[in-house]
Amino acid sequence: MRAQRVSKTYRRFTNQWHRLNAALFGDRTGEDFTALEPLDLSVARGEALGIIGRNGSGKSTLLKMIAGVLTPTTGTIERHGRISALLELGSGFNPEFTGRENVFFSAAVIGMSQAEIAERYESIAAFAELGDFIDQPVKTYSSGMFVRLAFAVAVNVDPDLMIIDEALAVGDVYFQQKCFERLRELRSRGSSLIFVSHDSGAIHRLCDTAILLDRGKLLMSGTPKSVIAAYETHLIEERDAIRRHVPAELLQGVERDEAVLEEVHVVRGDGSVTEAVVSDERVSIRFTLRFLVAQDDPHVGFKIRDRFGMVLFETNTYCMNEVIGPVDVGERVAVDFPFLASLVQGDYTISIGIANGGFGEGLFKKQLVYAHEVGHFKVLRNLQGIMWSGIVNLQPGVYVYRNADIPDVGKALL
Amino acid sequence: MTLAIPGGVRAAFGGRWYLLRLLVARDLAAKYKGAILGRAWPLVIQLSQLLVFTYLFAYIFHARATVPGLPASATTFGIWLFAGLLPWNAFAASITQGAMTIAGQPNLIKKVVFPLALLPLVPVCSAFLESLFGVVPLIAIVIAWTHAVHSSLMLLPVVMGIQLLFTSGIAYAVAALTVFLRDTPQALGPLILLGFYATPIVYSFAMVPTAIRPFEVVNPMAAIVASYRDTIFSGTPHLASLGSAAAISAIVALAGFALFRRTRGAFADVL
Repeated sequence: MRAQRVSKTYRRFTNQWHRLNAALFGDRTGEDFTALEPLDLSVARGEALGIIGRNGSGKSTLLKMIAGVLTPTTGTIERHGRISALLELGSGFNPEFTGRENVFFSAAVIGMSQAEIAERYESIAAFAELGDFIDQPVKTYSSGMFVRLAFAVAVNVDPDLMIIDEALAVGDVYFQQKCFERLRELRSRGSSLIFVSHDSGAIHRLCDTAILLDRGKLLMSGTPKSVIAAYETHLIEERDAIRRHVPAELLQGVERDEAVLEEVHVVRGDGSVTEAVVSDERVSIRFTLRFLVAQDDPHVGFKIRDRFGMVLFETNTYCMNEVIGPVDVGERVAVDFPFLASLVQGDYTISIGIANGGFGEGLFKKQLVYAHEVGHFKVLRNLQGIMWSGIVNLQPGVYVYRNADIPDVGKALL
Repeated sequence: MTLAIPGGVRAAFGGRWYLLRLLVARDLAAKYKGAILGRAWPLVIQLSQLLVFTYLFAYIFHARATVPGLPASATTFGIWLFAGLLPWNAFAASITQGAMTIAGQPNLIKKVVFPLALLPLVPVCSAFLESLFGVVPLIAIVIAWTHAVHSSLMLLPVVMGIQLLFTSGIAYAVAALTVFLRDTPQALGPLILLGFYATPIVYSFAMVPTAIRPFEVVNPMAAIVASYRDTIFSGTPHLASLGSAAAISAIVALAGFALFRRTRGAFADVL
C-alpha cells in the first residue's frame, strides 16, 4: 500500500445542488474543513504500521481512505490484493440473519467466492467460538460474540492488507490474545497490517513502525516505542495546562443545597495538577467543598469508574475511620485521597458523595451531594513497568525453579 | 468510450456475482421472512392481479378487446392488460426501491469496504424475479388456451434483457441522485405515474394519436411492453421499435452508470 500526498477536506455546501455539482464537475464553492493534511505513507508486504493520535486527529479518516471507503480530496492511494477492514465492528452484519449467513455475506463482500468461503467456513466458525450460536440470528449475540465473529471473518480470509480500527479494544483478554497471535501469523505469511488504536500497548506489541497524528497533521513517524513516548509526553504536557473547575451543570444526582463541590483535582507527586497519569504512579484526588448548612458529622467519598461505567473502587471518610467533625455554615473543607493508580490504561471518571451522619456499614443519615463525572483522568501505560493486561496491576513477583531445585509448595516465596 | 465502460463495469463487478446473488436472496428473504406462505407470496400476488383484471374487465366493464393471437373472449382484455403490467410493475418497483439503495444504507457505505455498484442492481433483480412469477403462469395459460407455442417466445429473454438494461440505468441514476437530492424519491412517485399513463399499457399503441407517436419511439418501455404482448400472444414482435429501444436502453444504462461512478466518491462524505 502506498499513499502519496493524500489529504481529506470536507466542504460545507450552501445547498444540495452545489454538492451534486461539485461531485459531478469538481466545482469549488463553499467553505472547507481540513480533516487531514497531505501526507505520504507506505506499507510493504508483511509490514505492520500503527497509527496513534487523539480523537479528531484524523486517524479514522486516514484509515477509511486507505480502505477505500472515503475518497481522498488530493493525492493517490495504491492498493494491491485483497483488503480486509474492520472499521467499525460488525457494521456489515445484518442482525436478522444468522451468524453463518453473515459469515458468508461478509466474506463475499471482501471478494471471496462461494466455494472459497465454504472451504474456510469451518475455520472461521472455530475461531469465533460461538458454538451453536452460529446458527442463531446475530441480533441475539452479546457484544463480545459480535466482536469474535467479525474478527474471525476478517482474519480468516487471507487478506493481503488488514486494516483494523480500535477493534481489539473490545473483547476479552483471552480473545485479544488469540487475535494477536493470528495477526502475527498473518504477517509472517506476508500480509500487511495497518492498525489504529488508543492502546499504545497493542501498537507496541504488533507494529514495526508507527505514526503520530494530531489535528490532521502527521507529527512524527518512527519506531513504535519512540512514537508512543512522544504521544504520551504530548498528552501529559497538554493536559497539565488545564486546571479543572467543575461546571455546575455537570453536578447531577442528589443535591440539597446544603453543600457544594467547588473543585476536583488530580494531583501528581510533584504537586502539579494533571488529567493524565502514568499507570502505577502515586496520585491524589483533591476535593474542595463548601458547606452551606451546618452539619454535625459530614463525610466525603468517591468512586472511580472506567469508561464502561463500572465502579472499580469506592470508599469514603466514614469507611476509612476518618472524622471531619462538625462544620459551620460557609465552612470550606478540602479532602485528599492519595492512592496508587495501578490501573490499566484508559479513561476513568470520578464520582463524589457528600453525606452527613455515618452509621452501620457505610450508611449515612442524610445524603447531601451525589454526582457523577465531576472529574476524569486518563491512565497511560507505564513504559518502565512490565507488560500486562486486565484491570488492576497486581504487581506480581515471579520466581522460577528447575528440576531438583523446585521447593515444596508450602515453601514458596511470597 | 465503448471499450472503457465495459472495462469499468468489469472492475466494478469482477467476481461479484456470488455477492449479488446473496444480496438479492437476502432482499427477497427479508420481504417474505416469517410469512407462512413464504416464497409462494410473489406467485399469489401475481395471480390475484391476473384474477382481478380478468374479473373487472370481463364482468364489470365488459371491455372487449381483439388481441391478435388470442381468441376473442370476455377474459381477453384482462390477460392482455396483465401482460403489459408485468414489465411496467417490475420497472416501477425497481426504480422506487432503487432510489434508496445508497442513501438508505449509510452503514454499508461509510463503515464497510463494499462494492457499492451492486446495490442499485439488487431491487432491479428482485423485482424482475418476482415478475417471473407472473410471466410463467401467463405463458402457461396462453399455451393451454390457444394450444399453440409461438417461436417468438424465444425473443422474450431478449426483451427482458433490454428491460433490465434500461431499468438498471435508471436505477443507478436515481440511487446516485437521491444521495445528493433528498427529494428524488418523492419526485419519483408522480413521475412513475406519469410514465404509466404515457406508456401504452392500459391502451394499445394503435390508440396513440399520430402526433404523439414519435414520443413513444424514444420511450423504451413502450416497445418493451408491446414486445411482451407480441412475443407471448401473437408471435410477431415489432423488431424495429425493439431495436431502437435496445439502443436507447444501452445509452441510458451507460449514462446512469457513468453518473453513479462519477459521484460515488462523494457518497460517504454526504451521508
